[in-house]
Amino acid sequence: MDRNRLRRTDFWTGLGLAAFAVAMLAVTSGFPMSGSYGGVHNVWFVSPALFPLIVGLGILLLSLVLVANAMRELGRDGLKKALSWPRGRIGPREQRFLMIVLPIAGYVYVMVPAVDFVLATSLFLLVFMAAFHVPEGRGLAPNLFLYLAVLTLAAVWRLLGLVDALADSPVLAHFLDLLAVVSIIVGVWINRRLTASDPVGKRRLRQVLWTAAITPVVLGLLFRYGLLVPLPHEGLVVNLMEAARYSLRG
Amino acid sequence: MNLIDQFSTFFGAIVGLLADPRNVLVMFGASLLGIAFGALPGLTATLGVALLTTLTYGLPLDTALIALLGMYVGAVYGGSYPAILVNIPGTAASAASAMEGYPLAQRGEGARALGLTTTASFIGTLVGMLCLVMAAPLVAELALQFTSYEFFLLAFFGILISGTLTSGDLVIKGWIAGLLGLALSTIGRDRLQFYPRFTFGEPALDAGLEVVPVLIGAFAIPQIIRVLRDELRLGEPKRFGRIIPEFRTILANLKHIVRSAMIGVGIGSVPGIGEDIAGWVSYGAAKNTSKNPEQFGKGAASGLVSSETANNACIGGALIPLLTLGIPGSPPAVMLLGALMIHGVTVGPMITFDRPGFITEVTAILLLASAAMWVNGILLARQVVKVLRVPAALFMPVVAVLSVIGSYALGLNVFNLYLMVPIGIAAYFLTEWKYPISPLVIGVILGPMADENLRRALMVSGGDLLPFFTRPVSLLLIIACVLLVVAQIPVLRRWRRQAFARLVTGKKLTDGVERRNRASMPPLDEES
Repeated sequence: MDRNRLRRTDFWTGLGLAAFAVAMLAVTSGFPMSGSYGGVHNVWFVSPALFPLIVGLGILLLSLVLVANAMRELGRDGLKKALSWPRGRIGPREQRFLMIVLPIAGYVYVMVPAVDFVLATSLFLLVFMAAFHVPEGRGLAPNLFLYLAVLTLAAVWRLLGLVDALADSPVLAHFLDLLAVVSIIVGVWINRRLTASDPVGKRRLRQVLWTAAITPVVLGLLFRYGLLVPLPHEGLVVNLMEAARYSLRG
Repeated sequence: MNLIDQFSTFFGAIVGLLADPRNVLVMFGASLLGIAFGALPGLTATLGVALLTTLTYGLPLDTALIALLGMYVGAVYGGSYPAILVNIPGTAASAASAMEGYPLAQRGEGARALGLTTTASFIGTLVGMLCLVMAAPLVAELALQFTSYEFFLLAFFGILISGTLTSGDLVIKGWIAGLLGLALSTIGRDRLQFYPRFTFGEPALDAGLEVVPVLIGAFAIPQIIRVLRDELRLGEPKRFGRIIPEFRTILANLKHIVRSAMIGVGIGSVPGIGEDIAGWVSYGAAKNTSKNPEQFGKGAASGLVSSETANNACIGGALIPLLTLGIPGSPPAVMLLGALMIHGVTVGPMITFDRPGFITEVTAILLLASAAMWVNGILLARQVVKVLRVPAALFMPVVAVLSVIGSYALGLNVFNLYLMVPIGIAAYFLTEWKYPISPLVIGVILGPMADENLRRALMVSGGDLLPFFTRPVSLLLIIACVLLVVAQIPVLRRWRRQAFARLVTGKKLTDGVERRNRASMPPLDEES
């Protein structure tokens, strides 16, 4: 980032941080400074507000210094340009940023809490790795569209409260797991078509498929049975693992 | 504990650790994993220690420490592989090594360069270890005199200095990052009155932010985004022959090694700054003191040896304030502190009473970790280099999954994941806007200590601020903080640079030279 652009960003981040500090101070002003809380008589120096007040004031002061420095370095013309910021189209860097962040956020907020860990991770790895590993960026759009479609459906299912409502249904109780299974199959099919006529693409897809299949199983076994950590959501595959474990034990 | 007792504890610890075959296996495995982690550009020592922490919390403390220190030492060393063979440093710590290592590899001396870095890294870690074992008890004894006044100021000083030294742009950005970390640390019920602060009625926030998800989010997510966004691809590594330890060249560069090790330990012991800065500073010192500075950049063994000795010596240095004061000396040490917290170890001045012999045990583990690194480096380098062929598009999504399951597993709390993602995205933007991340995470860790001790000190004095200025150590810390801030005033900074230049060269520094010097400085990367 060149110096002028950095200062323009400083100008805006400084203002944002100042706003954050003011909000922090406003919330802190509601903390007990004096009087009694929980049987403790408060004076200013034991108040729970003391430290946040110091920190909030520090952020406010430094962010204003940051803004002042940005204004000084930018000059009148630079400041005019800064005030017109942000403008313009979303560039390739920003697009790529969104293409990386959206699947991660979707995996964490939508899939991990509601879908069997092994299936959710397998699907995430398949689409995420294929999106960036299939040659010439051919995998980017189809894989991300597939994942966004699955995320939307899963989010709607959860928002409608169908996870709890259908918990006793023999088939629909595992609807989101089944959705993940179907999506994995569709994902494999899409990527095979994308790389059908390309030997390099075929080789890379093989790497993706192996990694997406083995990693979640290894992690699931390691955490569930090695470290005795229950997985975030245990569904079809984890139940299958449990059944296999008990049948092996006799 | 006298010297003989210390030695017997030290050797007893080594024998005890090696007697368990599981420890030996973990030691070599973690070291190898660390080398591979360091060798893969985009994966850092901090991230390696962070991810391994989640796998070690079920292990006994000594085995967990073997794994974590093995990973730390291995990763700092492993960064030199791609630096030498592909001219892309695996970690910021080995950026200076690329300056001399790659020209050597181009001349067909890749094996010699790797042999030099392996032995230099081993010696660097050993010197760091010696300094740790000698300095830590003294610092711990001194720290026993500290009361709430000093602890508050120490935490404040730690954040201030790490903000000052890690900022690649304006110093105030480092300070703002530190204050943001402190702000995050205030979330949850306060420890003195149990009053809910910034919880907004969310019970999951009552206990405050858990350190490990914050650390994983702040270090892993920005890294994943950056590597995939920039489509990081490596060239074909240069071929190399059998690696030998290169003792003769090492002996010829002994003075560079000793100086670099001291620089490494010194820089490592300053809170928040780590191996990358140590590598560059010692490389610069080697160049400035060399009889043949014109050889630098063309494959000078002394430059390579200096940077590698310093970045590994930094590890022992970083552990000194970590173990004795509870203030981490480098970004991976921040993560190590998180791991120790998980294992119920409270580091700080009381460590010598709570766990006598703990520092000696850590020293013994550091020795074993460096020995494992050396053996792995000499025998398995050819195999490790194969990881350079793994594309980032394959390993970064796996790192994302490991970060998620790791953050969840420590508290069995999905809410930790919900926090990890926004913290990671915020950390990404902060690094893009040139705010360092180390002060932020140090702020999160030291915040509760600063808050509690400030109020406790004021309680003792009945709200009187005077004792802050009448206690000698407290006054020293205040003076250090004020000097640190005042030194950043532009006029004083210019005057200080000129005075320093006059001291070194005997000439007055012109503005043009000053600008050129500043331009030739490497960009600082806060995470190594």
